[in-house]
Amino acid sequence: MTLPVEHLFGTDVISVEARSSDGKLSHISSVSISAAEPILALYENHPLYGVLYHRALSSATSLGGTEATFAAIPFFAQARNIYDAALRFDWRVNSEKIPANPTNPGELTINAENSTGIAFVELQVTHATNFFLEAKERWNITFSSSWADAPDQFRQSNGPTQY
Amino acid sequence: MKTRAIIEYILAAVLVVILGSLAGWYFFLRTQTETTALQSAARGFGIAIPEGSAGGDTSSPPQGTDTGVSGMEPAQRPAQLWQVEQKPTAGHTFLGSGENVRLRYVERASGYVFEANTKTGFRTRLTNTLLPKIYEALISENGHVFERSIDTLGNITTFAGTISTSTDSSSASSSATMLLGSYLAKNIVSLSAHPVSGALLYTVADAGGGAVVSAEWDGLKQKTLLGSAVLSWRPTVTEDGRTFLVQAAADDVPGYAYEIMKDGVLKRLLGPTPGLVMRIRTSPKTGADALLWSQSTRGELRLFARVGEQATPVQLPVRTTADKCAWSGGDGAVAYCGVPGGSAGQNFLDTWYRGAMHSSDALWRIDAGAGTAEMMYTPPSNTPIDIENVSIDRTAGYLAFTNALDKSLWLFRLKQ
Repeated sequence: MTLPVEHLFGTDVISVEARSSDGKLSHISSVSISAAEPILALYENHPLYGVLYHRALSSATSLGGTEATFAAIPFFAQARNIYDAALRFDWRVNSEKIPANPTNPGELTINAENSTGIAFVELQVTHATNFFLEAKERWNITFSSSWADAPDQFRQSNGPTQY
Repeated sequence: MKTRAIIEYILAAVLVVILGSLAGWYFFLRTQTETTALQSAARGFGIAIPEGSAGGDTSSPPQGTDTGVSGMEPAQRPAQLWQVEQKPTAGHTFLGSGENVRLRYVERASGYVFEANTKTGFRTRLTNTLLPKIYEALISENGHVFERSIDTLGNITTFAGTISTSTDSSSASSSATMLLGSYLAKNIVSLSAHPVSGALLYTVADAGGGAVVSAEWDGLKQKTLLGSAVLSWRPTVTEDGRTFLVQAAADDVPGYAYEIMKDGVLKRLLGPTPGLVMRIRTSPKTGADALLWSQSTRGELRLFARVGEQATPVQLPVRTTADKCAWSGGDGAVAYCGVPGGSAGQNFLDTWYRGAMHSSDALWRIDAGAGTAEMMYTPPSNTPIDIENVSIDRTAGYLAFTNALDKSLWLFRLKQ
């Protein structure tokens, strides 16, 4: 049996009662299911490799280059996918509110050229109809002007390859 | 007479000046040509384009090789632990056996298919069809390749292709060919391919939750095996054609593993087991399937094995997730696992799956029959390796895995 649940957040109690047809025998059992708290993770959306899901950014991160695109993933959020229109992404960079990209609100591009190269990124994710859903996270991202300044695993390969 | 002598002197002087100028111009041009030639050489102009041999090998050996080979060997063989590809990869499999074991893999950035010779260390690009940003790839032994990505609307795409056998005549310098195929249905959540034929078993979302579907490699002859409210199944097709499902794992969350029988009935193999991850090796000859599974309870990983349906499970003396393990072929119930050094930490599975935590692993050999484990190899301390996507060739001579830190591809030689 599939039970539709209005909202996933909070705690749901599901009960079932089994009764004999004459009503002499019966038993009730119930289970309490608590939803997981949403977790916000931020990943670099690399121009060649796509979103680096294997490398979540820590709260203090250094990146090579002066421009990068970031993808936020709200794990355990009530959504079919990251493009779900019910999800609200509120971005702030260095305390300035940044309008979300209408086509992909979960992504943010930062160009740190002609700046100190440090971006303090804050993100709050809420839901259009589920007011219990709220996830907040913040990251301190340092951009280095030279790729050589930052650790980068995507260096040239270490052996001959026929192209 | 005096005038004539003066004219002759002047003409001689002019002649000397002209010859001197020409000589100077000659030496100037020669110097410039040499400089240009040196610069061109430094940029790689004029150097012979690497040509594949009949076996598809390149003409120079890889770095990081040892020389423990016989005199008949044409090139140095790679070190016991060899980083096959430093750039991110999307999937790999072994082809061939014995002396002709190759590791075929897909590059993440381009979707190009490559092949590495395990003996010589040479790598060859097999395809030239650009499919950018491939997050996951599966390869079957008969040449089918499945490349999975995400389109601009957030849909999961799956391209099913075959490596063309005819070379593109417009690319004379490369033997790479096209990857011919088509896209399967969108939003295939998880996919398994038969290791030889490429027959598919996948889960796809539908109105009631999810459906588990089998199909031929090109998506034809689809058959819905199971309708389920649960979407997050991880399917597996074994070489003897049997189909298995395991729920996607999470720390402390009870998971179940089933076999989908031919009549569509689910036969429970394991569960409820918190954080269940399972690896199965079927044995059509003996019927004694070997199971290797891990559980994660309150931040503690534990690994178990069972050889035969009626056998008593044994807990193995290593703490890891079966995601870091693979069964070996050949005789005996032997598996190899990456085992995190030190404590894996609280909620290892959840944080590891999110890419928020990485382990530094050693490679262990598991004898499931005896219930023992022995450490085989510890990478150097300056080379942290977070082992995932482990596969072993048919003769149990090589083990390949991805480093979850950067998705680079590694090969470990099991037999010296």
